[in-house]
Amino acid sequence: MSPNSSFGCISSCRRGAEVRHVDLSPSGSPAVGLAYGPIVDPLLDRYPDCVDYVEIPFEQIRHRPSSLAIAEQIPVLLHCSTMSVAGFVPPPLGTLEAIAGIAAQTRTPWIGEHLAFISADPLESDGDSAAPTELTYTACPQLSEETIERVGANLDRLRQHFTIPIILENSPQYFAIPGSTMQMPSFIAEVSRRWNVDLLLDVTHFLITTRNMGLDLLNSAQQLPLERVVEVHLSGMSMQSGRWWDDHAALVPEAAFEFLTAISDRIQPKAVTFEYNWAPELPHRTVLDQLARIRQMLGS
Amino acid sequence: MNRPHRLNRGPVVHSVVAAAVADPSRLQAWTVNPSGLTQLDVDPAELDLEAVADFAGLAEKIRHNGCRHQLRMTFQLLNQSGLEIQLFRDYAPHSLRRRQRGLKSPLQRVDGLAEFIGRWSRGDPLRSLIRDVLLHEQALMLMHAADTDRPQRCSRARPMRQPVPAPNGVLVVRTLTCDPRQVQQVLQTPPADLADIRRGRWTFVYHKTIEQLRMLEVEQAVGHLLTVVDGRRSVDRMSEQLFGNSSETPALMPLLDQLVAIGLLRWLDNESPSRCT
Repeated sequence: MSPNSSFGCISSCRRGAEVRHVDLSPSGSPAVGLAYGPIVDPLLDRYPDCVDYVEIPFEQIRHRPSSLAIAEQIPVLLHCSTMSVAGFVPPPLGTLEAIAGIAAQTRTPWIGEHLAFISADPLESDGDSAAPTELTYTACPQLSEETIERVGANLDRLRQHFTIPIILENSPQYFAIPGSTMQMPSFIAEVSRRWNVDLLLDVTHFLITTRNMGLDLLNSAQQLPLERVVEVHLSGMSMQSGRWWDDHAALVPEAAFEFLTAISDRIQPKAVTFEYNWAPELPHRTVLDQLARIRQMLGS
Repeated sequence: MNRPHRLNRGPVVHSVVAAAVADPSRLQAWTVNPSGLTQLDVDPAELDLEAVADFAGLAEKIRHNGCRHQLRMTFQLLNQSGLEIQLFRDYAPHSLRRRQRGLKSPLQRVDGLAEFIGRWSRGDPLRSLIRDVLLHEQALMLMHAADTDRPQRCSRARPMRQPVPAPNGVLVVRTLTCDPRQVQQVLQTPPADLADIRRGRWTFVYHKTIEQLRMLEVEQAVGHLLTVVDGRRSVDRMSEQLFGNSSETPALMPLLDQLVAIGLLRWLDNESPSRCT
């Protein structure tokens, strides 16, 4: 068995006083959840069983540990933007230990991390003592053999810290990265194949990438190892300044549902997460309709 | 030892992209002088610095996610007008300087954005609309954050000698090119069409006391008058400030009495200005 395969399904838990853990069971339907943001608590207060889990970024828990209190209500999936899997600057050991601690606490079945970088070496002109440049938002890496090799080395190192798998989320690509020798679909496919790693398919990121880079959506999807998709992300996107951008405050576009329908016979995700975590509010009915739609579409 | 000269090595490319996103001055320098990238062994022809600047705008926008709750209409307008990335991209250098000064709270972020958008919007009707909606939402934020634990129960009687009007609670005056109430109606009626937003000139007073928070539409002259009420100037001094002499004092008195009557102002006793009459 590969270190990253054979996940079961997440089943919903009942509310209780203790921290709830994601419960893996072998049934076939994907769980449906929401990324933790302002809309989640009011929605759960009113419709406690509307989602099976809540996905929380490690960075949010680290910044505001009280956000983990949601785990007393509902199972938690851990997401992460800090490990810089496709970067050349490793994260601090303390950060990895903190991620591992929260992963153990939540009993998340996997950690979804971006196939991206968030730290980079300082420029030579900044001197030897300069600290790495830390971004606040993950960036698309160079799509090259060099980066693929680096991802492998990084995964080897990271996997030593966790007893659960890391799955990798495709980045949204907003512009061509110098030195890239392949397009995003090939890059993802090669990373997954070579390093035996499962995927978090962010459908919206994929739409953004194909549109911004002038790729054909369905042909690009043909190149993806969709059988390795463990989790799906869905969020909004918006056209600004001549490009498509990720937008977690906007509703999932119809194109994302259409794409999921088109590839539905090739994927069997264990979880589908709606990312509305930038939205201060959304009509409950709209969110509930989308949750129901995805359950119906993917057979929940 | 000399490092091998190879264009576009992965670590260097990541360093360049990160530096450009994190440091707008570096991005600007490379835009003006692309040979700076060549010196780093990155091919300038392969890096779209305009797109990188837009990406920095996205990162800047995300830094303001904590303000979205308070700036709902502003963000909706920005998104719908297609100016979201443009604004935050343009604001990024100013925002960096403010963050370096530790100004990171939601209110401080909104204050910085409001200050910047005043310049950014000049002469552009659409940008002015966004500016004014932001100023409206900023005023509401200021109201919610304002401390109002001062004595509110004042006499409405005007003192006989040298009366001094003072805000009764917290007052903010905004003169806007739109009516935020109508903007809200338009935005809440899908599909929202920004062309339906009426433009003109409206003046609003945002008022908070320990009992209430309200927004009143007033005539522009009243708004102007309220901006010179500070609890220190006498009515004579206010007249001088507004009209250049104190001859308008008799005309101001009944207007100020009305503003006291509706609770926006209170009269102070000039002998002991800290006390209500």
